[in-house]
This record gives sequence, C-alpha cells and structure tokens, in this order.
Amino acid sequence: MKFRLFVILVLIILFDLEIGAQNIDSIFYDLDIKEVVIRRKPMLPITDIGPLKSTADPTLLFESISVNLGDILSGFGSIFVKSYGRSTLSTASFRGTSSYHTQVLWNGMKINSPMLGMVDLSTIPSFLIDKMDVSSGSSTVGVVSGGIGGSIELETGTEADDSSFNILYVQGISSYSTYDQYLKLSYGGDKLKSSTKLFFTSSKNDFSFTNYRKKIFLFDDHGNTIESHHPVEKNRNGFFKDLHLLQEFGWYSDDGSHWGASVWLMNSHRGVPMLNVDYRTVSSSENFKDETSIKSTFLWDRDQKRIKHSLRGGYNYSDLKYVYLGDTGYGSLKKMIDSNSAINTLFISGDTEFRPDNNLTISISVSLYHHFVGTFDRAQANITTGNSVIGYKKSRFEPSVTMTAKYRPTNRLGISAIVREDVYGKSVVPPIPAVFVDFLLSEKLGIKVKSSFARNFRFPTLNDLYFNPGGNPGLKPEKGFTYDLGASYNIKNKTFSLGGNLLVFGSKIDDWILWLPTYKGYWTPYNIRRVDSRGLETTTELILNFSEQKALTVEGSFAVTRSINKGDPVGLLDESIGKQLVYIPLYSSSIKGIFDAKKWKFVYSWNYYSKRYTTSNNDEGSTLGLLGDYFMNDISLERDFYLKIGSLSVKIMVNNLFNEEYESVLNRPMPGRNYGLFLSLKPFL
Amino acid sequence: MRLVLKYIFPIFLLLTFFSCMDYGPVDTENLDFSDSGRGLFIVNEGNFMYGNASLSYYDIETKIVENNVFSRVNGINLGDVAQSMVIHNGKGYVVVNNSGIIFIIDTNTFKVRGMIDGFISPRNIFISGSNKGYVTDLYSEAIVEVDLDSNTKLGTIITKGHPSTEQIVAVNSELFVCCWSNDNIIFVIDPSTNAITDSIIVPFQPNSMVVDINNKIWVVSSGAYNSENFGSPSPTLSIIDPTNRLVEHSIGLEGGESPVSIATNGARDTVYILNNGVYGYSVRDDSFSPAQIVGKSDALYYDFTVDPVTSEIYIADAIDYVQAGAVYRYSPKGIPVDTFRVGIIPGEFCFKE
Repeated sequence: MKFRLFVILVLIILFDLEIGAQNIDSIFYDLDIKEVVIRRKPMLPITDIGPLKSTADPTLLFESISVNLGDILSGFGSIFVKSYGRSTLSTASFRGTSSYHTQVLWNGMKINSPMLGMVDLSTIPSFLIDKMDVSSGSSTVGVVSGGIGGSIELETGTEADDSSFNILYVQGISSYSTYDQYLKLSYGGDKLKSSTKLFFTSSKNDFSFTNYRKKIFLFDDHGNTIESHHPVEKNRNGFFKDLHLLQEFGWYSDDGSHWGASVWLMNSHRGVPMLNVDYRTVSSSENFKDETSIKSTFLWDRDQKRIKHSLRGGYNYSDLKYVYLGDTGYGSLKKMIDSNSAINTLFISGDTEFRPDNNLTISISVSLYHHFVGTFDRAQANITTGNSVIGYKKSRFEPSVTMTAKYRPTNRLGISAIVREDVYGKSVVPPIPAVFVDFLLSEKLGIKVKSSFARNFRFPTLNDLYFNPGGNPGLKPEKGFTYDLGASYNIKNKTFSLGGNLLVFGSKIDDWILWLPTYKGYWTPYNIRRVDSRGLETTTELILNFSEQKALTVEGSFAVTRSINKGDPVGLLDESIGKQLVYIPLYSSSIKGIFDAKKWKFVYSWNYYSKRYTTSNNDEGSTLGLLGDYFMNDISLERDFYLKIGSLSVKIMVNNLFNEEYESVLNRPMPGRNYGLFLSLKPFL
Repeated sequence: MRLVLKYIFPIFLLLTFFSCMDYGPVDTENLDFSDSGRGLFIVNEGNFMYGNASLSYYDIETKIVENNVFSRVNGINLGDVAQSMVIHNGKGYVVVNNSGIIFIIDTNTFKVRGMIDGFISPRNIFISGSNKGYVTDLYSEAIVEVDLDSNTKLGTIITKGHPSTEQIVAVNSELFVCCWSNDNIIFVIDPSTNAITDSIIVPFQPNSMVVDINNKIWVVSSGAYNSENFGSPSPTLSIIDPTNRLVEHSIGLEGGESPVSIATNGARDTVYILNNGVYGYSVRDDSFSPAQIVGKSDALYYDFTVDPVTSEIYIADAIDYVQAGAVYRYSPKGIPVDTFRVGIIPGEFCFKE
C-alpha cells in the first residue's frame, strides 16, 4: 500500500508540474474555434465501406523491445490473450471464440500452423512488425479462410519514401537476466530499398515467487506437523533464447509497380516452465521446445487509375521439436518424449481490384496453399519394430476464391458483399457470404453506423484429422454465423481529437472441435460443442494537444463477452450447458495514458480481465475452478537526447507496478514487479 | 488541462486503487472423520497440466461427501494428475503423477503426515510387508522401492526398455507388475531380492489386475490405438496362472473406446469388469459368461470399484472431463443407491475400513 501511495504521489507531482507550466494560449477550452462552412455534400469514403479493420498505432508496435504481439493485442477490446508468461505460449481469442479461430497472416500469407491451427504470438516480437491490422467477426471473411473469431494481418517491408541509409540499435536489459538486442539497417536508393532487422533475446526468466500451492512441513516423530510455511521458489525451466533475422528488399519502378521480397529466419530454444505444483527437480526432469523457421514472401503490385493488381507468393518452413527428458532410474536422463514436426507450406495469391467509377469497386482474389506436414515421436517406438508409433505424414491443398463488391448508391450509404469459396483437399466448403451496410450519419461528428453478417467455416487441422493416435478423419468443419452492429465517431480540431466506436456482436458456432482424453492414454477430437457468443465492445481515443510538443493521449477499451456453451449435455449430470466457456473473461478492459512533453514521454497502462473459469460448469467453489480478476499496471518513462553523433533515447519500464502476486493460467506463477532499461541509438550518417 | 485534472487524472488514480488481485494463501479448515464409520476416498485426477487434482471423501454410512478435502485442510494443492491411493497403518498414500510426489495423509483428518519425492512420473504404490513400498512409473525405466518408516527411497528395480510400469499384485510371495503404455508385458519380481525373475506376454496395454480366490491373475488390456502396430484395438481380458506363467484364457471384450477396468469383491469369487457398464464373472464359471450388473448409459464411466465388505459398486463418471465428476453407488445387484458429485475426472477409489 505504501508503494501504491508513492506512485499516486509521483503521478500528482508529474501532473501538477505540468499545470504550472501551462501557457494560457494552450488551454483548449478558451480556444476560439472558427466556424466551418460545409460547401459539399457529406460523402462516405468508399474505402470505409465494408470490412472493418483496426490498425495498430505504429508507435505501439515499437513501444518496447521486450513485448510480443500478444502483449500488444491485450489492449484491443474483446481480444483475450492467454499467456503463460514471457516467451511461453501466448494465444489470442476474439469475441469469446478459441485461439484456433484466430488467423494470422504475414505479408498476406497465412502463418497458422496447418498442424496445430494456431499461432504462438510469443514468437513474434512486435519490433519486427511495421503494420498490424486486426479484423473481427464478419470482417475476417474478406481477409482469410477459417477466421471464425478474427484475423491479424502483419505487414513488414521497405518504405517507399525512405531515401537514406539509417542505423538503429536498441539494447534492453531487464530483470531476471533478460537481454534484448535489436539492430535495424535500412537503405533507401531511388528505386531499390533494403531493410535488415536483427533481433536477439535471451533470459534465465528465473523470477522468484511465494508458492502458495505448496508448503514446507516440519513433522515430529509421530508425523504431526510442527511447522509449515509456503516456500519462496524460482520459476524453473523458464529460460529462452530467440533469434530473428528479417531481410527485405523493395523496388519501386517509375510505372507505379512495386516489387518486394522478404525472408524471415527464426531460431528459438525455450524451456517449458514447470507448474508450481511440480515437486520434481530440473536435474531429474527437463522440458524444452526448439523451433527453426524460414518464412519468405514476395510481392508485386501495381496501382493504376481504375485498376490495381497484386501478386503474392511465399514459402513457410517450420521445424518444431519438443523434448521431455526424465531420469531413467539408473542415473541418466533419457528422452521420454522426442516429438519432431516439419511443416512446409507453399503459397501464391493474386488480387485484382477494379474501380469502374467512384461509387463502385469490384475485386477478385485467388489464393492457393499447399501444406506438407510430417510429425513423429522418436521416443515412442513400436517395441517390436522400433518404428515410431506416434505421428503421421500428410499433405493438403487449399485453394480459395474471394469476390468482393463495394457500392455507394448514395453519398451516405455504402453496401458491400463478399462471397468466398474454400476447398480443403477433396472437401468443398459451402459458399461463405458476408454482407456489410454502412451509413454516414454525420460527417461533422464523423458518425458512421456499420452493420454486417456473415457465415464462416473452419476446417479441421491436419492434427485433428490424422494425428496418430487420436486423429478423427470423420470430423466435420466448424460452422459459424456472425453479425455485428455498431457506430463509430471522430471529432477533431487543432487541439483536440476524440474518436471511438461502440459495437454489439454475436456469433454462433456449431460443431466446435474439442479434444478429449481417452482411456488408452491419448486424446481425440470430436465435433462436440455449440457455442453462442454475444457481447459489446467499445473503444475510445482522446488526444489533447496542449502545444506543438505537449500532448496527452488516452486510449481505452471495454468489452463484455458472453460466450456460452449451447451444446447438448454429454450426460444427465452435465452442468456445463448455458455456462461461460473456460478461460473466456466476461469483462475485459484496458486504458493507456501517454503524456508527451518535449523530449519526455510517460506511459501508464492498465489492463483488466474479469474472473475466468477453468471448469466447464463454472465452479466457483474452490481455487481450482477459478482465476480471480486480473489487474495489471505498467509504466514507462522515456527521454530523448540529441547528441552530436546521433539521437539517443533512454527508457525505464516498470512492469507489474504494484508487485501483484498472480497466476494468469492455473498454477502458472507470474513475475512480480520487474524492471527494464532500454537504450535506443540512431547515429547520424 | 483542467479537463485532464477533472476527469482523466482521477481515472488513473482510481485504477491504482482498483487494482488488487485476489491471490495468496488459502484458508484452511479442520475436518475430522475419526468417529464416523467406513469411508471411501475418491482420487480425482484433474486435468493434465492444470494442477487441479483433488481428493474427495464419502462417508459410506451417512452418505455425506466432502470434496477437495486435501486442499481445504492443508491449504495447498494436491497437484497435477492424482493417480492412485492406498491405505496402510492408518495412513493414506496418495500418488500424484505429474507432480512427482506421494503425499502421506491422516485418513481421518486428511492432514499431511509426510511426503515422498524424487519420482519422475509415479503411478501406483504397492505396499509389501510392514514398511516397504514399490512405486511404479510412467516414464522411468525403474520401479522405486521406498521405506515407509523414513519416507525415503531405498533403491530401484530396473525395467530397461519398459518405462511404463503400472499395477502390482502379489501372489505366492511374488510380485507381478504390468507394463501399460505402449507395452504388453508383465514382469515377475522376487521381493526378497528385488530381482526380475520372469515375464509374461499379454495383449496390448495391460492396465489393471486382480487376484481371484484361486490365486489366478485377471488382467484387462485396453487394446491398441493403432491396429497397424499391435493388432486388435479391442480390450481383452486375460486369466493367468502365476505358477506356470501361462495365459490360460484370453477373452476379447466389446468396445474399444470406453475405459476398461477390473475389480473383485471381498470374497474374490467374482471378478467385475467396467466396459461401458459393469459385468460380473463368477470365478467358478468356466464358460466366462458375464452377468450384466449395471447397464450402459450416457455417462462417461471412467473407473469403478467394488466394496470389499458389501459388494456394492461405485462407478466414476468423468462427464466432460472439465467439470466436477460424479460417482454412482449401486447395490450388488445393480440397483441405484446414491449419486454424488466429486472432483474433476474421478479416477481411483480407496476404501477406509
């Protein structure tokens, strides 16, 4: 509590000093706003018609070298990010759906594992990404197949207006022996541009915590407890070492064509942290996960007056290894699990957008993916033949065609329709339609009303169908129906900007695929669940410009997501029907305040998730069935220095400001207050 | 700036106050069943890697059930995947598989009286004599011998090439250990020397065994998960003569997707099989024609036990694996007696006499 009061005092002083320094001219409520005479009819921009995308503020992606995409997405409305801690599995679920319903694309290529169906966001440092668009519900239909919940589009590349040679180096030193390094070299010639990004992070990640799930007992000779206490332990086996190299070239020709090529290499070696109820030692039991991936894309696009063409292609190779080493019982560690997977994906897509007049846009997009997957466990061999008995080798071809039309019959009204057709191997998914209606209510206040509805499907992953043991070739695709209705607003003047939106949404998913254990020791998937998800989300952004160099930005989001199991009971005593899905919070919210003052920048961020159930019947009777409300406060303070050799930025970050003890996933301890120091150097060349 | 002071700044101040997470030590309570009659412990596995295993206690006379007793009394979690429990000299030995520990508890108050650690993936403890235990393991290629006086490891019996030792039964001063996961062997051990003296090949994945009144070993094998590797995916019942190590009878069971398990009554003259219903085999019936005692249902019958005193049958229902399970109590003739809720994935039973 003392620390809490100290923080409040510091906040008061910070704001108080600023008040004292205010110039009367900068006080916005005294500004004389001139009358604006509107000389034209209000017009709904045709680009605003149809699917709604939220674009992340580029400065947010580049805010800290130590955060990954999961950390960034936790501030986006109704997206729930389930994280086991830094550099451990981090997944995003939209509007009460599952992480398998979130599709992630990099430079237009879907990078969800065709084997597992999801993306571990902790393997994507936000520093590498130049642009991130987030789509939910119906809006996803126009982006990618299978995004019943939502999609995340990541873009990297060279900048057309970059015309010099630049170097940027960022060094981070954080708690628990965590070191982050980032180097960016960029070159911008007249036509040829190049960008090289190198990112390396390593950590022991051995934070201390009081383990409330264990006790050290002291017994007398009769076995009675004399004394007991909760031990202070360290996070075990949580180490990580990640290396990323991203090389990109761009060519901008005089005829408006743009060529781009990107290669992203990643190598990761990570421990799998032990549960806080694990009594084994690291010397007798060790888990680690290695991943090497090579992703590459190429791009060509040409934008002419009435028509725009683009062609994209790519290759994604991923080599995953999970090893569990255990004591054999005779003094040596042996691989008890040695799971190896190799995934190769080839991708090509072409898009053409035709604009016959200012009120109509028609586009067609064709994409082809071919996945090749091989997975096996070397440690689980047939006792007779010695061959691996776990795993499979399969390939799948996934073509898709999407047609989109946007039409503006009147200045204020926009209508858009999308039809998508997906094929998975020999299975054809029924046509997927999506319809969007937009109406400009007030141009002055920027009020737009949007509504949409769509069908959607998600085809089973290759593991769902073929994993040996347990794969179920008889699985049906998950079927979704989604709708949303909302309004956005945007009011601006020289000193003030207020924008945001309010949206209600709903979706129904049938034949939800769920893996269940079997008595023979393996798991198998079934089309078992029907889920009805409804909710409301709202975001607000307020920017106050006190002067040219002083501004306050406040961003907030709030969401209510009721994601209910509407399936048939699996037995007479099944109490899960009508209950909230596990790990989906009913309420989530985030608020971020950014105060820029000349060379200083102060950021306060607050995140909230309401309680999350870990049982399908929403049992609140014990700590085993519930994770309590999650509140997190982080702050950072940054100062820019302009030196002779270049610009230097020094940033101090405090995460978990109030040193909260918590678990965000059952029996996974999280770190207390931790610190980071970040130096960013950009030499003048 | 006044707007900032009046509206925005107070919001951030409020956030700092409304930011306390409710996490920390769990309140404990005292429970005491010293004065009650016979009881039944239900070991609830919980979900793998969730650490939400629990222990339930059912008073057989009063039908009162107390859930999560280990955590409520001791203020700590039982751990990740509680596998089994046995009672010896008034102490309960609860084996927690993926936590690598055995908790020793007072069977009346549920208070921790000791712990044995140092395991990799312990499954079951078999108590031999007055103070010696053998602990089987899912991954370690060894059975660990423990001293129950000092609660320490004494030594190991190496089972090289066979990591998944599961259940142990004793016949004629010999121990018979079945190797379950991805295996098909039963080892014979001489407990006086801890040496493996022989082995018996049985159908794939033998998971549980009982000894009948004639000292024959009845084994159920859950079957293969891939017919290309090991033949039939269907479960099998095998009857072994431990003296000559021969499999005398091998009976294919229907199904293959439901849990199979085996138990006997107190007299050991009837052997019961759980196979999406409970079936009883009289050991005197050479035709091995089972009588259906409890029929099939929508419930997910995960495991069962038979009361050694009353021959009543208790069946565990895991429901959907992610909510509190249930236990159905039946008379020896299969008439419902009671139903009660327990913890997540009730997987094992242990009677307190």
